[in-house]
Amino acid sequence: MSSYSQVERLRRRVELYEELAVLENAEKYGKKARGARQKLENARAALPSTGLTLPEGVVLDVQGLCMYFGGVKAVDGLTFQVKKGEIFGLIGPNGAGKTTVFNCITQFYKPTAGTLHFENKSGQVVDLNREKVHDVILQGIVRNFQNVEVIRELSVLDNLLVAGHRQYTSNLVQQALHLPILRKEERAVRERAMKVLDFMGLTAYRDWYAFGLPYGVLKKIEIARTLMCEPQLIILDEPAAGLNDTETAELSRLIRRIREEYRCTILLVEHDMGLVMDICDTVCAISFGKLLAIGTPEQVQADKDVQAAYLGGDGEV
Amino acid sequence: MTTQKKNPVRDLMRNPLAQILLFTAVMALLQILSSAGLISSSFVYALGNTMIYAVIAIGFCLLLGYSGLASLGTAGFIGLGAYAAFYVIQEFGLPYTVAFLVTLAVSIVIGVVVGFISLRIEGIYLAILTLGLAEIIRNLLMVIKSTVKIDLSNVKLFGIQIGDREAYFLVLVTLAVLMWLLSNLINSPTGRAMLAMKNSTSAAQAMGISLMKYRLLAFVISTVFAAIGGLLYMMFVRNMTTATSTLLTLSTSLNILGAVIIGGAKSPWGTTFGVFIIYGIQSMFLSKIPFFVKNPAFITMVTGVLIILVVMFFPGGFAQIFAQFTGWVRAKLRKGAAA
Amino acid sequence: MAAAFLSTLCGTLLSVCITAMAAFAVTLIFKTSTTTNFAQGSIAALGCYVTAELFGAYGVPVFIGVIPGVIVGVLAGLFVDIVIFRNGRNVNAVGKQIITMGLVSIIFGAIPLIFGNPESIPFEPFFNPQKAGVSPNFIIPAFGGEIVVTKHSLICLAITVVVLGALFLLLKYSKWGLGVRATASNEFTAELMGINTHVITAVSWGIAGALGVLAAVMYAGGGTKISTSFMTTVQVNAFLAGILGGFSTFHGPVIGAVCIPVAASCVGFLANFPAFSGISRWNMVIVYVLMLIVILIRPQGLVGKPVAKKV
Repeated sequence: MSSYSQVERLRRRVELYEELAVLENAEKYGKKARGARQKLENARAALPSTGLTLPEGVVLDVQGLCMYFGGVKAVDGLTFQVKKGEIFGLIGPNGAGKTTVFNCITQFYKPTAGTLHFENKSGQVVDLNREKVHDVILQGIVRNFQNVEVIRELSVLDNLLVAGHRQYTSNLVQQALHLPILRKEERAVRERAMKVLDFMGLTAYRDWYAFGLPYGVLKKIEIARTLMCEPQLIILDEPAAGLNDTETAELSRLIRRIREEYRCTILLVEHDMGLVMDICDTVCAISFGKLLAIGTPEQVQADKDVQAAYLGGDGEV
Repeated sequence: MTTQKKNPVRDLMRNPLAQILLFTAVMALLQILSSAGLISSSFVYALGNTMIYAVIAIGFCLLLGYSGLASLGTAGFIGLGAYAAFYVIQEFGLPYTVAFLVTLAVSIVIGVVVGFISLRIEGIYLAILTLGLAEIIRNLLMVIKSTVKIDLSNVKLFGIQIGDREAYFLVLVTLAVLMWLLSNLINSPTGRAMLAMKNSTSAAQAMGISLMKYRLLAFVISTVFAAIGGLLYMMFVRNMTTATSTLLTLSTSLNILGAVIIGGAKSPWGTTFGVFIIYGIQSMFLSKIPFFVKNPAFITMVTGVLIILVVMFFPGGFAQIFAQFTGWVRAKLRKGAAA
Repeated sequence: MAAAFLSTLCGTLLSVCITAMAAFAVTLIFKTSTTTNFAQGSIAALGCYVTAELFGAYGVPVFIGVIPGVIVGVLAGLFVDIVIFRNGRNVNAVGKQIITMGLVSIIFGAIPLIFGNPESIPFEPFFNPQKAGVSPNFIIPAFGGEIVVTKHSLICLAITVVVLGALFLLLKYSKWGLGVRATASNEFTAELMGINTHVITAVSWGIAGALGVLAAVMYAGGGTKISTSFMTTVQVNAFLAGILGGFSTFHGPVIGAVCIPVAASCVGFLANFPAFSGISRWNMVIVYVLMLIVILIRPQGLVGKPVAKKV
């Protein structure tokens, strides 16, 4: 028997040796990587089954999700499925409970009722409600925040290193003594961060302190952070809020590129309908915590309930 | 961008280990000069005393500057270390290493229990619960034994008889080692995780940082450093009358806090400088001026004013003021060179 | 035994009153300025020194001298809010907390400079039984024994009930009270709704200072030696009471303030039984541990409500 966090640790070790093998072009790391991989395979085989399954091609299954705050039913019996590799848009008028859904998936809120099943990086289906909020990232779910939460006291590069926090396997003693294992990990994670910065076009800001950078750059740093740990599912909360038209257009290209490059699923909340209709494969509209319509952008756009919710009567969106 | 010229001396000075070694060398030299009769021994004694407070303060620096948590229990933990030293070395006649391990164990246990309970609620409660704890520890220690005194004539460490000089070196080496460990931690994922947590708890959690783990870690480390400070105090000063000594009262906790704030909560060296301002200047220089001897409270008052001014206008403390000043000088020099 | 126990409980009356006042003051500041005011006790001590100086040097009786003392407390409170908090550059919650800690240092240093450092400071209760030539205690025979209550503690109980009662009524029905509650729930919104939050917080600081000094004078009148840090224990208990009762309501901390001294004296009372004879030195430790257990089970406090955080 082994636990998922052990598997994740081993997986990280394998990656570290592989990355070092490339960086230093040394065969000894290749050998170590193969040894670690063997251990990883064994640990994976020994993972206890969760007894949960998802239909083919589905990565996240939300069933009957409810979140009540006292008498307020922020999310009320919401059900939807997100397919692997798609860009899924969650839309709805203000106060519809979109961010609450995100907070439930990432376990910032413990849902009042409902199940959240997710296929993690190891292909195992887990019940997210059993995960602690800081362990959700281990399963492969990362998120950004509506009101930009960049660490202002750290440089842009360090912000990315923080996002790679769970990539480190060295313990407290190894860190306090700065043992070689930490230095190697540091090098590998730094290298990865540089790649992400390059991908996002942020290299010029590498050593800047996040404090005082323009809003658009801060939003990009937030997205860059989500790419630090091989995400399976990226959750973006209003990525286009506060951006101008040019920046929004760039953002939609960027989101597509992220999906291609990192082969992940993207779940986003957005008010900019142009962006949603442009890039989403599936759109889900909610209002007052309840599902209104789900389907392709065209289907949702044509839905009478959706039009009513947005315009308070019948009309066109 | 212009590439800066390589400056090996400056690069070396930016290496934490080199800084620590230099500091240790200077401090050791002062002791040797004093043995040679070139510096008064009271000056070196005051220096040793100040370094003990520096040990306590740099631990606090991690708690306040990196995790954004304030504790007022420092004095209580100092007391734990001091009494552990007294009981292990004096009463049971065991060696210093045992006293060290006992201090470590006791402070970790108490730190974990108090931290676990108070950090579950808002971080702001930590100060309150530790304040209460420190008061209780002080009263309890006073009831258990009002005066503790250590006789070092039979105490050896690594086969060396501990006298005044050895005790000074013990303090110095402990400070240097702890400083090294701390600066390593600060420049590692742990230090970054703590800063992330201080800036945005939600972002930290989303990135896989367990708030409880790192808050508790910072609190326990600061507790351990304070307890080691108490242990060193007993090795260096050797006696304490709990009822009259101010060491275990709230004012020590406040002074340590003041030292960290004034020096710069994110910089261990800044903190060490802050300790020098609060404790060093007083014991090395002001104690020779009659006005301050008659009114020791005046210094407490100045500390308070400094704390408030720094929090209001220079959140980075003297470390920030110093950095701004050197930046300004460098800019001036560059202008001068260009003209 | 029952009478002895009741006497013990009556013996805690004074500290219940003092802790309740301090706890209310701390809560008021916590809710309007989102900080824990560590200078509560030292501001109180400062005011008490003024009263004591007037009594010792000029013979002003304490029930009159308390007024200038309270005024000093109010001014000190106003100073903190108006001069310090409002002029700091983006000072956050921990920053404010540290400022109040710095203030403790200033007052600790200032008191000996202003008032000297005498061995003991003469003081008297509001009603001085020695001058009136009467016994300081009421003795009520009951349960085959006698219950002893000091007159001072009954006077203090009356003052506390009147003052805190008035403040609770003000909170509930006055415009200021509504402002406090609005500011406590969200300072920014309250400001947008036309509430002058500056006035609200300033008045709260003034009231907190006054309550502190009143409590200090009552405490000193009960026979406690006045010193710079003599209110520290009261303040610590007031904070603990706040946590125990829960800072989310105003009455929670006051309930906590009743619980702590009573629990301490109950533990102390056990020392009367031979099996627990050595317990008195562990008195506060036991109460503290009991409190930690309560907090472990109910982190939001005895009467508090859990708060959901918005992300």
